[in-house]
Formats: sequence, structure tokens, C-alpha cells
Amino acid sequence: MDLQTLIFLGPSGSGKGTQVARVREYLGSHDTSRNIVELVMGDLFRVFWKKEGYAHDLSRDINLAGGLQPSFLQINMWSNFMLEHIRGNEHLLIDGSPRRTTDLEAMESAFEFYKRPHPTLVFINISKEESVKRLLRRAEMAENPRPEDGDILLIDNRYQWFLESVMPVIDAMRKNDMFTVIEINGEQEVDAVTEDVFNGLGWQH
Amino acid sequence: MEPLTIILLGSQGSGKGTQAKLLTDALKAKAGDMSVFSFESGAHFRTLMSGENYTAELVRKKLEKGDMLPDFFPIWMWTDAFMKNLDHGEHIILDGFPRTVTQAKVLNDTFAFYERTHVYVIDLEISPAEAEKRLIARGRADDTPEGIQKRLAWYETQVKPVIEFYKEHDDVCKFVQINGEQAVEDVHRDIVKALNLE
Repeated sequence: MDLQTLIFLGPSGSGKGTQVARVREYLGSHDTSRNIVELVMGDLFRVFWKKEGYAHDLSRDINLAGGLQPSFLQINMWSNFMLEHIRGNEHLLIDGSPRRTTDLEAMESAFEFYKRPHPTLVFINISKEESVKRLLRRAEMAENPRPEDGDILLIDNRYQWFLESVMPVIDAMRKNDMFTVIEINGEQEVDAVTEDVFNGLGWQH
Repeated sequence: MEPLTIILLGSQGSGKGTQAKLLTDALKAKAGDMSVFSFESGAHFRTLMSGENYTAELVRKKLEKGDMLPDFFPIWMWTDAFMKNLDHGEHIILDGFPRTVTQAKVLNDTFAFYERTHVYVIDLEISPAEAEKRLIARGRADDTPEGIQKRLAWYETQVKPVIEFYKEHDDVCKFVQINGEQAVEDVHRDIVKALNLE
């Protein structure tokens, strides 16, 4: 199997996390020679918000308002992560970044620098109505670490910046030869979505 | 006094480092109990590169070839320094970056986040001939004729667009051009004047 660099983007509630877990499982069982490194932007931010400091306070406020984090924080976090975890021969899964075109430009430089061959975007798309429905459902689950899920106004804000900031990133990736872009209909049963993701990646299963 | 954010731009040999030091002293004298955060990417970079790891190894190879570093790397360095050092209300002096338009865009985004309102970009202008003359006179080990030409050419292709970017975004950062071919104290005087620090 070729070295994989897979980026997962989609509106909140699109099921990225679930699909990333299945992709990781597939890679783990089909390529035992390599490690898998998983960069989950939301997790990195949740760790960041637990710490004290000026930048931490400002960033926490943005999150509480359902806003989009500035590109420099995102770049700082994934750079830290890559510096720590990339050794040159591991599959890399990225969940929830890049979210701004500047963030994408910086990430392109990182892919070139680390010589990551053919990064692929898996774009799992769902409508706004579906995003609202799923997040409200997720908010009722006992162990949900995201208290912001239950607030309809915040859900609205998050979908809005997905359209305004992340969609231009996806369009830029479509126009850039460096990337392959696979768009998946996220409004299906979980297994059907996985089926489409694996087919899109050309994986036998 | 409002906290100032000052970005010093200019080709190698333009005297950025010297002016950053003079300006830091001038601000400290003027600032009272306000602190001055001065960041020079070179020093930070050398500390980071002294470590042994995969990324440091790749960076060393790039530098040996005289290649430019990937955008994410300088961004990572200065954002790291910002997050560790910035609180409310200090003056900020930046020297040696941004070096590409991508970096400049991220930096503007950073200033918006930190609610920095008084941002100045100071371009120390010197001609390529003057820059070459000064670098030759400096006589550092990497200041070979080829090395100098490469760095000056790189300035033309990479940093000139950054200056154009700031000229176009004069609403976010006030852009000031200063004649860098004057005596050190005259350049300093012009900078102080442009910042209304007299």
C-alpha cells in the first residue's frame, strides 16, 4: 500500500470522526509495516482550552460563540503535532483542518517539506438541516465532550463558517494538482458512507 | 500610550536588526511600565535547530542547499513565541518576518485575534547595489558572492510581494517607507518620527 495522507473535512455532525476511525482500522489491518498518525484538530483545541493564558482565554471565547479559530492557532497546533509525530514513513490522517485558505497554504508547504505523496481530501457533505438534527441528537448523549452542541445559535454559526471559510478551502484543493478530492454524500447510513469512502480511495474491502 | 506593533522589513544588509535594537531602547525609555516584546526569528530558530529530531534534520538539509524554509515553519516559531510571551498591552517589535505573502496574511489574522490596532510596517529601503556592498563588507562566512546573489534574488521574488501586500492593506497596517541608505542615527530618527514617538 502507498503511503497515505488523508484529510477529512465536512460540516459539524457529518460523521468525520466515525469514518476516520474506520479508515484507521482498515489501514491498521492492511498495512502492518507502518504506523498511523492521527491529527484531530478538535482534540488539540480541547487540550489547548484547558490551559491558562491570554491566547487560551481569547480562543475559548471564540469557541463559546461558535466562531472559527484564527489560522495562526490552527497552524501552530498542527505544526507542533507534525514536528512531534512525523518521522517520514507513517500514514497521516487529518480530521478538521485546514479551515481557512491561509491554513491550507501553510499546510501545502508542510506536505512538500515532509514529502507527503498525493494528499487526498475526503469531503463528507451534509445539509444544514441534517447538521442541526445530528448535533442536537449528539448533545443529548451522556458522554459528549462538546457542550456547545445543544445550542441552535452556535450550530448555525458553525455551519455558516463552514460555508464561508471551509468551502473555499475545498474549492482551492479541487483546483490544486497536489490534491485528489473525493466528495461523499454523508446523509446515508454509516456503513454506506464507509463503502463510498473506501471505493473513493480505491481500497479493496 | 497605545501598545504599538512594529514590523521591520528590508533586504539583508538594510540594518533591520540594528534598528530593531535602537527602537526597543527608545520604546522602553518612553513606555514607562509597558513592556516591549521583541522577536527576532533568527535567534529563536538557532535554539530550535540545536535539537536532534526528524524535522530539524530536514530543515538542516534545506539550509545547506540554501533553500527557503516551508511557510509553516517560521509561522510555527513566531506563533509559539507569541503564545508564550504576549499578554495584554505590550509593544511588539518584529524583525525578519513575514517573508512571504502567506505569512503576512497569517500575521494579519494574528493581530486581529490579539486585538492589535496600532500596527506599523516599516520598510527600510536600500538599493540592491547598496545591499550587495554592505554584505560584502560584513564578510560573514556565508556571504560568498553566490550566496549574496541568491539571497538578494530571493528578496526580489519573495519579499517584494510582501511589501506590495502591505501597501494594498494599508487599512490594517500603516505602511511606511524609510530611506535605509542614511546613517544609522538618521534612519532611527525617521522611524521615531513615523511612529510619532518624538
